Amino acid sequence: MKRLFGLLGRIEELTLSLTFLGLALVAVIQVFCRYALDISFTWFEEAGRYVGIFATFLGASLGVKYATHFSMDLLISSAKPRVRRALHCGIGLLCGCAMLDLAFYGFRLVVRNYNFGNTSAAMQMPMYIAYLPIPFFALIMALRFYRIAWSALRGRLQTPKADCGGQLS
Amino acid sequence: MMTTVAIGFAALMLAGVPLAFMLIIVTMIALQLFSFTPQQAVVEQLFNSLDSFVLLAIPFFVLAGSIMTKGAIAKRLIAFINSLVGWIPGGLGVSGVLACIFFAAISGSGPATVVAIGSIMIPALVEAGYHKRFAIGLITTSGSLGIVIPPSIPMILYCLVMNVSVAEMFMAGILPGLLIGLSLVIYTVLCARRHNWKIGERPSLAEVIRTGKEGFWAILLPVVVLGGIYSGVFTPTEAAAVSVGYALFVELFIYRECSLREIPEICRESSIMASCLLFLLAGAMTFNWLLTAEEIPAMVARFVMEHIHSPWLFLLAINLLLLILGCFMDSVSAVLILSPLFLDTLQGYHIDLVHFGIVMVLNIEFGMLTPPFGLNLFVSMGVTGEKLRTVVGGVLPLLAILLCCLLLVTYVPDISLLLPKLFLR
Repeated sequence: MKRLFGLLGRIEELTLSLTFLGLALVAVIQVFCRYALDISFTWFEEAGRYVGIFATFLGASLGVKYATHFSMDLLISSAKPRVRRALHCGIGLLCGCAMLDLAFYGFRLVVRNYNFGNTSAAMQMPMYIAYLPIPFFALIMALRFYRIAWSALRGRLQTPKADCGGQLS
Repeated sequence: MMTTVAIGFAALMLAGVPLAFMLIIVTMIALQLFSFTPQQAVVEQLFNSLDSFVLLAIPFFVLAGSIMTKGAIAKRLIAFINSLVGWIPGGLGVSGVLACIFFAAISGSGPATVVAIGSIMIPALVEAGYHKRFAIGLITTSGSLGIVIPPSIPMILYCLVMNVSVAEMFMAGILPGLLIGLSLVIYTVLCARRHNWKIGERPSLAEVIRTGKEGFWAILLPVVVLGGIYSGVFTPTEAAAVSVGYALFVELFIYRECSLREIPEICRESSIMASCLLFLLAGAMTFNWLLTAEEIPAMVARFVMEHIHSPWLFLLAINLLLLILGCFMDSVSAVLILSPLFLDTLQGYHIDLVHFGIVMVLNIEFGMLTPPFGLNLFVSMGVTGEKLRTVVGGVLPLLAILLCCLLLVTYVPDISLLLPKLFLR
């Protein structure tokens, strides 16, 4: 089970890095084609936006796993261990519930778009596919937050993964 | 409603709830308690906030910065600049500042600049006899120019929340960035003269040409990126993508100090960070949607204009507010949350949004250099292995220079607006 989760985690991370890198390279090819071959990828801007939304939610979910989301941790880091554990547990439960709520309403929006049969302007892609990453990754974030709460309850605190820091702005 | 939102906001933030989630939770609670708008609107707002092509410039610039940091572009750049100015009094320090300015023009990130230039320049400065504190302080501060000199990630974030042109903001950052850079160069030369620090040997013309040839690909990048944007060849997002492609090409096929197998690992860290930043932006824009729907910016504008009669005093108050807030929260988040709140006030005072944006970016720069959220300080600690006290001690005298520049840019709008007025308006 542990190996399966490890493998899924690796796939998740690889998908994220290759998505952003792939988008950048397609954008470069697009610029080249526009000037050198006089061909314009009309679908690229739209595809870029939707793939960007997918990658943002995927990365935000990994951010929960590695505790790389920005927070004001001045108070929490100076609190006594017992208070810190209680706060971590509370934050995990609260954020988990909020993400579950987001997943529920996101899913309703997906269903609504599916029923209406909305499609995007350039690619004619069903819009429910564009909305799908929100409920899916919100659900994964909820599960990750509940795991944080459970770990805090059992006395293990989540600390930011050092190698993910230092790139902001 | 405002009281509940404010209390919820403060309580969740102080408890350490991640800011992006805190903003989403507060919006959800406010909608549930005080509005007939369904919660589904939050999902739509999150989607709409991220549904923008300009936004992709952020992960692209973060990726490009991290590829260049791991590769050899910075090293070649430093060797060339050092051969040009290394022999004047304080020359090595001046090369450090100039290398930061140059790297800032290709990376868009302050911490990436500190890592790329600091890991090479700080040991070199200490070896040449510069005081350790001075060397760390100088490069940590100069590295923060990464967000003032275009391209700049916080500028793109500001443009998105305030609906300002990215090209104008980028151009407006050039003169303030050079002003700060010049002040740091003058300070370095004065310090070097006073302490009689060692002066390097003047290199031969052949040496300058050799390092110039080796650094050619690094020097060409800002010309390609900024030249491409202003000549209309590509959009800022495409420019960011081109800088990723260019950095990959140069590192993999020309300098060959990075292997293809390392690339996914390099991209992994930066992609997660960029996603967290984009998610924070989505949270902030959703929260701003709530504020606008409840007419809170208009209420803030009425309140501020009743109590503060001059725009200059308002700008001073904003600077003070951000300097104080910088002690409690990360300054990028503070600017993302606060700027739209003052949109109506800015229009009431006829303050140019681009000028205000540059003032905000300088405040973020200041925030990056002051504890407890000074990201550059922590990055510098990581690069040098020194304690926070040493890094802060080194940065402190240079903060006075930054403060003077901040006030100058705040009260002389033409420093930021001259170039956009001349070329873009």
